[in-house]
Order: sequence, then C-alpha cells, then structure tokens
Amino acid sequence: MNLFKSELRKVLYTKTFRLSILGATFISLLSSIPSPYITQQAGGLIQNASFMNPEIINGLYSKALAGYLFSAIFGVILMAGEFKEMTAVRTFLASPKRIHVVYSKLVIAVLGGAIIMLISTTLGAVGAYFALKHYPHTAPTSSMLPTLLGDALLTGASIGVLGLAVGTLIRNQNIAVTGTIIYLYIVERMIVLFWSTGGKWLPSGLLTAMMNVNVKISSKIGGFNYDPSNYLKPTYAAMLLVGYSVIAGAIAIKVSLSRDID
Amino acid sequence: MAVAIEFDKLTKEYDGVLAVDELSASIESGRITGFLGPNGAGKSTALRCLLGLAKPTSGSALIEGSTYGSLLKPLQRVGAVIDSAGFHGSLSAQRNLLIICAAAEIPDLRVMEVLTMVDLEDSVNKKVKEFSLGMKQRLSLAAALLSDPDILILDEPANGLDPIGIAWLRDLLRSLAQSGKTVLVSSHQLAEMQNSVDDVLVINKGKLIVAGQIDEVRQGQSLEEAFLRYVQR
Repeated sequence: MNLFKSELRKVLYTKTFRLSILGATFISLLSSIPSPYITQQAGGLIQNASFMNPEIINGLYSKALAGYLFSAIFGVILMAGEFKEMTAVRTFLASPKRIHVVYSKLVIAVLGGAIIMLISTTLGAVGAYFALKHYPHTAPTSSMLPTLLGDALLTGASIGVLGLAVGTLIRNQNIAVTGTIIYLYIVERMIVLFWSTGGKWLPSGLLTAMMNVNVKISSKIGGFNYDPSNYLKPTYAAMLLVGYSVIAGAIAIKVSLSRDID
Repeated sequence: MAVAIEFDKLTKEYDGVLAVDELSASIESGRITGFLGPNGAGKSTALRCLLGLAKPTSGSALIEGSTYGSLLKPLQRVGAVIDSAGFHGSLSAQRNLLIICAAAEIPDLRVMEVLTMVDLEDSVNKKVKEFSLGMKQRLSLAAALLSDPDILILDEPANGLDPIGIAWLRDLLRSLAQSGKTVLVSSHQLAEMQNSVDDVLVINKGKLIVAGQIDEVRQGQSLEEAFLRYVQR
C-alpha cells in the first residue's frame, strides 16, 4: 500500500499522466469529429454507408477509442522513466522486494491506462455526437455506449500493461516511446488494413473486433479489405487482449526480478 | 564492538570481468569507515551488492546479519546515497522527498527537517533540474537521512561539493558518528577522507588491500602515501 501511495504521488506530481489524457483526447477528437464527413465522402467504399444504418453510426462512435496509444505511452514511461530519470535506484532501495514495486506499477498502469481511455473516449464520443448533428442520421444501437465505454476501460488497462512491459524491456525511454508509436500507429495499422488474417490477432485488430461493427469496407485502389467476418468475436477478442496483458505483465515481473539496477 | 556491515568473500563479475574479487571485511557499529580506492576499484559495485541493487556472483554482503532485501522496512534502518541523480528533475526537492516518504512510511513533516539539516530550506520548491551538482548531493543526503537511520551508506558523497560543502560534509559525518550512527563512506579522494574517518577499507582492482583503524593504516604517512605503499607491494 505504501508503494502504491508512492507511485500514485509520482503520477500525480509529474506531467506524464495529465499529458497522456490530453494527447489521447486530442487523437480521439481528431478521429471522431471528421469521421462523419470522411465516411460520407468514402461512401462508395463502404457497404450500406447510410447514416440511417445504426452499424455505421456505431462505427463512427468507435473512432473515439483512437487514443489508446497514450495508454501505452503512459505504461512505457511508468517504467522506462525510472531509468531515464535514474530514480530506479531510489525506488528499489525503498522496496528491495522488487516484486512489490512491479505489482504497484502494474496496478497504476491498469488504473492510469483505463482512466486515460475512459476520459478520451467519452470526450471523443461527445465530439462524434456533435459532428453527427450536421447530418441526418439514425441513433446508434442501444448497446453502443456501454460497449464503447467497456472497451475503453479494458483496452486502456490492457494496453497500459503492455506499455509497462515494453518500458521494462527497453529501458531507454526515447527508444521505447518512439518504437511504441511507430509500431501501434504505423506498422500495426498497416498489417490490420492489408492483412486482416494476421492483423486480427494484434491489439488494433482485437480492438476493432471488440467494437463488433458489422460494416464491410473494400478498395480496389488501395488493396485493403475490412470485413468484420474475418475478425474474432468480441468476447474472444477481449479475452485475448487481457491474455496479452497478463503475459506482458509476467514478462515485466520476470525481467525486473532478474536484472541488476543501474 | 558489534558488526554492522559484513562483506564475506563478495565477488561480482560483469561479462567475465571481476569488479569485486572475494572482498571480506567488517564494519563496526558507531564508527565512520572510509571505503577507499581509485576510480574503478569496485567500491560502487560492492555497495550496490550491499544494497541489493546488484546480485553478487558469489559471497555475501550483509547489514546487521541480513541481506538488504530481507530487512524489514529497510529505508528506516539504512540510508543510502548512491547517485546524486535519481530525482525527478521536473519536481521540487520537497515533492521528490515526499515520494520517498510515502514508500518508506515516513511522516511527511520530516521532509522540512532534513532539508533544513542539509541547508536546502530555501530551495524547498525549486525544481531539482535547476539544482547545482552540490545541491543535488545535499538533496541525496537529505533523502538518506529522511528516516533518521542507524546506518548510512554513502557512495562518493563529496562529489560536486565545493570546499565549504566538503567541510560541511565532514562536520555532518562527525555529528552523525557522535550520535551513534554507523557510516560507510566511499571516496577516491584519499586526502580529504583522512580527516573524516575512524577506520578505512582500501580496495584496488576489486581486491581488499588493507583494513583497519586509520592511524594503523597510515603509520605516520598521509593516507595517499600509505595507499601507494600498499598498492605497490
């Protein structure tokens, strides 16, 4: 409990958490507000792209989940930041039982990641709501909001832990953060877009599956295909994402216990 | 006199290179012991093993008969200065110490007391990144003194201190010893340490060269001359 309190003070005193919320909200709004316009312009690529189709509206609201990158960055900095600031020594002197340090960081990664996503997704959804007001549209399905917020919490918590594991493995904070951004926003998105068979197993693919948006998108020009029937069922996707974070957490624990502290 | 710290054939190897080679020595309670040797002698590595930050390849380093990791509430018994960095640069001195207080169950009120002890009471709210190296050293000492521990382990605490700071550190060490605390202080500045310590452990290339009361080790010479004599044997 003491270590948790200490870790909480670090989070509240430093800017990382507040900046992560701001960054996630910015990305979320950037994704959700223009999406009705983009969807309308790309109507030819999307089957049943009418705003009278509740699935389309659900899909537009799901753009509010786009800020998950910042849950990952928060997790990365939570651990890699200790080595960048060289505070790891002091942290481990306070608690030489390193397992306790890692447990408290895991709890903070789960809570912090979830809060970042909850706030950014809620504000992003509000952005989508106001953006849709400019178009005649139908209401989303009744399950949209609880699914969206549930996915936000689950994704934020899981991705936060994945970020923590990356920060444990790659102690250079700049490399860890840059690598995470490049992987999540470029590499993984390309894989999900162009190779959904493999992409469906990755966090972005799982997030897409969890929203259960039944809209097909295809483009002969870009060569990409989005077909929800290729993706896992939402429950399985959620379970797999949690599974990934459990494995990542176990790796973080093992690595932290075995290394000398510089 | 009781033994506070004990190294028993402590060996630490990094990638095939011996940083500490079968170091055996005892540090008595209530005395200031200088842990001396040139840069790269293995002092910091030995202290890191003592504090559980590095795992010994073989042998042991114990504090009051236990490894640091098995001490109950270690920060309340042992204060350590290992690195003058180790603080969040964007946070004030006060907030950095409050983070440590939370981890070690130390009352927050203690922060102002220790900042006053190290003459940083005017820099309580100043960001650590704006501190000079000497101020960071004082802050490290404040962190080590937070819990008023019985044992202090200080790795090169004089680094970055100006002559006034060094004199201040000497007085601080002396007052700590007078209050019955055990201080193990490492330094490569032999001349400066000969005025501050009761006992010395001298190591070179990871091996113990000599240990004993400072007057016995010096044999009328300066500590530097005595060190060279032992190394060249």
